[in-house]
Amino acid sequence: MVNINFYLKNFKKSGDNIWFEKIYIQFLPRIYRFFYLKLFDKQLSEDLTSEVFIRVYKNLQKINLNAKTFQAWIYRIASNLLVDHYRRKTRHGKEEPLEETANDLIGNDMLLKNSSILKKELGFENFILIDAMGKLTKLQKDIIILKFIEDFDFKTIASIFGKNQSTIRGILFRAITKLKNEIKNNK
Amino acid sequence: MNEKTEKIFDRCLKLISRGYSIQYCLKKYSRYKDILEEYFKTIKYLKNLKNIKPKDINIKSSLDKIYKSAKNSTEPDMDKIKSKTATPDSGRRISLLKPVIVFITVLVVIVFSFAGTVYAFQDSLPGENLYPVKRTAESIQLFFYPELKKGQLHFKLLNNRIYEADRLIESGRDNDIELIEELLLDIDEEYNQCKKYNFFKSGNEEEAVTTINNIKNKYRKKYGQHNQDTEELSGYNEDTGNKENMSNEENVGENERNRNKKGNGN
Repeated sequence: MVNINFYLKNFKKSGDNIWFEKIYIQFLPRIYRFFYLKLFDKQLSEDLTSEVFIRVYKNLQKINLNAKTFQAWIYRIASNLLVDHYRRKTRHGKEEPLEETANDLIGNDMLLKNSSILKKELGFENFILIDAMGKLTKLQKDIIILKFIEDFDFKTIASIFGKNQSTIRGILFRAITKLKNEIKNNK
Repeated sequence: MNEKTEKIFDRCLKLISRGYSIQYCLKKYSRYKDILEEYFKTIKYLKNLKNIKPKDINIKSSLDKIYKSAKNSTEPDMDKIKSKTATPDSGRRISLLKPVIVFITVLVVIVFSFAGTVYAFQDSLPGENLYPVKRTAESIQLFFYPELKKGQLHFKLLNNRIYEADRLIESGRDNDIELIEELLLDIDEEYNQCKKYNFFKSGNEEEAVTTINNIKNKYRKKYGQHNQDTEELSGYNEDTGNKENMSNEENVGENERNRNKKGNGN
């Protein structure tokens, strides 16, 4: 995090791409993972990840951010791009409810479609986990990913979703309970 | 039970974020050990997903792609990233608003403190700390006042001086004699200015002169023998009636002359 602050400062000051590159290297796997765990499509996740970084590159020098606010900002961009993607899908005939409380139908659909490849790619245990995550709502899934995979603190998660921390804590507990029970049932 | 577990789980997460181990947590809440272990097992599974990474990405070529696309695209991206939340992309807005907020705050503070000072000095009397501020503010106001309305403002100032003199006389302090005398000279000055700007054409000269004379009489009565000079200055002597036959205008004119005389004397 200290490094990110340093890179952000230097990039803002000098505009030298070397600093952007350092930020990119740190965040690339995280943003990619964020998309992949929703879409289960490598190519699509890579494309959307690139789109996130294009937006970041275009706007980063204009904004004053520290490591934490940058983190929230970049995930916000990713989250918005995902919503755009769902909208495009909806227009093409797939019905995807956009509310946070709805299940991730497109993601689950992709999971089902690519299950055999995913089992190989991720390993059986991870696949079971991802399959169980399909039972969560979109918001529950996002919070689980950000908290336990990306190690965000509650404050940052709350700021990304525009909710207060206690709400996020409640959602997280319900999500992890559901996930725990699903894994138990699947085994 | 579920609520209690939620609380314990939440406390454990807090402890872990502060650097405590899972083992410490399980020990601390040993009654909930089994349930907590199940939760931590699920979290451990989730942590394994960290291994998901984009494979075979050529950083250099993908960065080049990003730079190129960013250059070619003229679309203002920030407008696209609409957020209902306050923090993430409102960072830019906040940073833009910062100088505006600072400016407004400073302005509000200045206006309020100025307003407070104005309120305070408006009621100030000669000899008080804020009185020079009051007089300076009046001079500034007079300077910027439209020429045609200056008579009106002088009349207002005349009333101010009368009011001040009245209050000082009422207070009856010996130390105020000099201040009152100054005020009486100022009253004459303002009266002359009103005349100069033809303010009395509308017909309230008589009332003004009566008020001036009343205040001078009041002063004389209050301070009696202390103020021979002032009696002379006022051009009035109720006891002797020496100058009683003078017209009001002459009275004020006499005062003006006396004032000049006093000024020369100094």
